[in-house]
Order: sequence, then C-alpha cells, then structure tokens
Amino acid sequence: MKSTPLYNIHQENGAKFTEFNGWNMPLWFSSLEQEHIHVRRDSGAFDVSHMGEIEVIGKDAFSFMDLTFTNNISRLGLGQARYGFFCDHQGNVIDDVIAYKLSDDRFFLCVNAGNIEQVFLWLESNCEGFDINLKNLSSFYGQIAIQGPNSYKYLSKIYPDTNIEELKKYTITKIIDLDKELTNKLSNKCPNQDNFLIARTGYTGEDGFELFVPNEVLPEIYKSILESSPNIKPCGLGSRDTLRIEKGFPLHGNEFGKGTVPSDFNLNKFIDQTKNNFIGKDAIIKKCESNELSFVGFEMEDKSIARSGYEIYLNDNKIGSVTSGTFSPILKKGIGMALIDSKFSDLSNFQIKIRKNLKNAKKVSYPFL
Amino acid sequence: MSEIKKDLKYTEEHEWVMKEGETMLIGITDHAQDSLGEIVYLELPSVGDELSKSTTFGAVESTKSVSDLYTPIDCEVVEVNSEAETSPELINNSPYKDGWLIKVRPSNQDDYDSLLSPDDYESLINEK
Repeated sequence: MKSTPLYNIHQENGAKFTEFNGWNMPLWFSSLEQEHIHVRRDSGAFDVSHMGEIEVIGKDAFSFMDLTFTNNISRLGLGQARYGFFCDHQGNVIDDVIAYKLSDDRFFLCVNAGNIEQVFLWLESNCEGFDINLKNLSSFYGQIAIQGPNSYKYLSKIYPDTNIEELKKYTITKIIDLDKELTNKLSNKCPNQDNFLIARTGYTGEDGFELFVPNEVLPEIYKSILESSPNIKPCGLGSRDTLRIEKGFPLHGNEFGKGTVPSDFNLNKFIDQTKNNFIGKDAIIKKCESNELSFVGFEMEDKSIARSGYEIYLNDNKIGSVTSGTFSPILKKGIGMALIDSKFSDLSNFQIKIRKNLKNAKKVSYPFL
Repeated sequence: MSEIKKDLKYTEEHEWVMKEGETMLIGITDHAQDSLGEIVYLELPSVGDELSKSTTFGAVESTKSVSDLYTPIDCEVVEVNSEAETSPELINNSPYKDGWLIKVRPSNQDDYDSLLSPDDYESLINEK
C-alpha cells in the first residue's frame, strides 16, 4: 500500500488509517464528527496527496482539452478553472476533473487517485494529431486541502505575499512565499516551474484552498501550517466524505457507475452541449433524451443509515439504488443520494433495504445543508 | 491501546461475554468501538428471541461504517439495553459496562468455555 510523505506526522497526530484506492490514508484523528463540524465552522487540513496531477502542455493544449473535456474552457482567463468530465465514446465517466488554465498552452488537471493511470493512458490515446505533451506530475506533487470558512484568514497570515484573500473562487496562483523560501532547497524541481500552487477550490462545500506542493517539502509545509494556525485541525478522509455528501457532491466510484453518463447525475451544467464536439457528446445527448434515470436526494425517516449500493424499493419492486449515503453530523440523521428509475421521479417516499429490513426514506432536495 | 478485561471471554467478531450466574451479558470490545468511531445507531433483537451461534443478532452503525453483531453462543434474549439503543454513545464511552448490548440465557452453559480467553483475544487483535 502506498502512503504519503505525511504518514509519520499523521501517526504522531493519532490518525486512524484506512485503505483508499491503494493508499494508506488517515480516516480520522480524534473524531470524524468533530472534524466535520470543525470544517463547517472554522478550518481543517486534509492530506489529499493521493490525488493525481497531470499537465497538458503545447501549442494545441486548448484544442486538445476542448475535444476531451465536457465543459467549456474557451472563456477561461489565466488561472481560472472548470470542473468537468473526461468521458469515453459511450459517455461513461473516465474521471471527474478540475482543469486549471495555467497559460494559453498549459492546462493543469487534478484527477482522482484511483484513476491517474487510466486518465493518463486515455489522454495519450487521444492525442494523435495534436501538438501537445502530457506530463504525469502525480509523484512530484503532494496536495493539502485547507477547508472551512476561516481558512482564508489563517492562510493569509501564513503566506502574506500571496494575496490569498484576493484569490477568486475556482482560480489558481503561485504561492509566492514558498517559492521564495523553498525553491532553492528542492533537489527536484517541477518541469513546469510551478513548484508551489494554491487554488481556491475544494470538496467540502465550504470556502477553502488546495495547495499543490512538492512531496519533497510537503512535511515541512504541512507542519508549519498546523503550527502557525492551531485552529486548523488535521482531518481525515472520513469527514471529507461526509462533508461532500451533505453538499451533494458526486464521488467517482460511488456515482458514475458503468452505463451511466454525467447528465444522469444532474450535472448538465458541467457539460457544454453547444460545443462543436467532445468525446462522448453524442452518447450523452442521446441518454439525456431517453431520460431513464433520476438522481435524487433522500433522508431517512427511520433511525438507520443507507449506504452505497443499498437497494431502493416501492411496494416490493426495486426502483433504484443508493449511490452515496451517510449519517449527517450536522443534521443528525441518515442522508444520501440515489439513482432511481425516472418513472418514479415524482415519488415523495420510498423504502431502502438495509440489511434484512425495508426502512422508510423520503425524497428531499440536495445539497442537504 | 485498547482495553481488554481479564474477567471476560471474547469472540473473533470482537464481542465480549460476561457470566452473571445463569445468564450472560454480551457487548462489543473497546477495540471494536474504537475501530468503528462514534456509534450513532444500534439495532438489537427483542426479548424472547432465540439466537443461534454465529448468526447475526443486530448491528452497530457509526457514521463511517456498519458492523454486524454475531451471536457467540446459542441462547435466548432475556433483556436488551434500551438505554444504549437511545444513547448509542454509551458503547463508545463505556463498552464493558453501561454500553452492554443484550443479556441472554445460554442453551448450554458449557459453551462459555469454548470462547476466546483475554490472552487469545489480545493476540488476535495484535495480529491485524
């Protein structure tokens, strides 16, 4: 199992670990619930170094991204980012990705840990005829997410020269302070020269930042963040999952199963159907027209928690299944998202098979908060 | 380090069994509650239910995961801990005392002897 350069620090901080996509990652430190609530109210630090980073560089970087990415990137300014998908020709999601425009000929992609190889190979298989280079920077960069409403205050103090407060949502910039302080110490520098990047993005639904910094100096950067701002608490993947579910964010592996397209999950705003072409476009449009599936939010009426894969029933007939579910630490009840047959999309109540019993759930809109 | 009580017997499914005269108390171990994290729901059988060894008799759910409860010995349920049902955090705070789960009458008292000793249980959790 792989571990990040922060493994020893996590151990010292009392982490309980879990296997995630081949990585040994912190699940929680003292308490999942407390970490969750702390991120909603203040600020938490997540080690997300398992995530991958790929760069598309070259004269045709834009036209290549335009063909492979579902979202529209033509109006992006420098440093701006878009969320979207790489899909195959059947519209199946290969990965959901944030694409950052670093310059006119450079796009920086943040991809899921379990998909780095597949995404890279798939991009490679489509690059014929394009004047581009693909660089897998996943082993160079580690990643720390600082999330929560107070994150900007703390990071502004730690990195005064970087102008954190002015950084707009969904944009990326250099961490000037770290660039000055640590660049000369690096034994390996990033081929793209951007050794230290910070983006105002995240996966918790709170204001927050993601730092892309070299694995080589990740421990000292992480330590200095926690030491300079004791209110930034270390958080594990457990609360990362409950935080994203409360906000209704999809997770590749839970949502986006085989045979589905991103529009089945109400994510049409990240698919630009007016674009001339992108891989998977025809299949996605066809699937939208057939409208077979509905993605719905639910909360449990019985005291129970529905989890990924549990089946949904109406009068003993299976009508769908849960894609993500958890106990909400804020709402103090079971919540989740499910994919159901769209014939039943007007239903307000259904049942979920939890172990041997059918438990009552009601459809609610999401985000849940 | 998880606590293992010397005066109890254990199962591979991380339950403890305490002899109390003719009846026995069953709960989950400190190690089990620590691995689950904060427990939010508890599903228990009803008084009078006949349970057979190795079948599930309920479940404990934390935010992150769910764990089935396995019957350690053939028995009949004589009491359930309704306080733990309403306040499952009792299991986290006091797994060997206030957080007990069910009281049972064993079909065969000798079955108790075949359960794991505290030392066996300790080696079991250290292996993992």
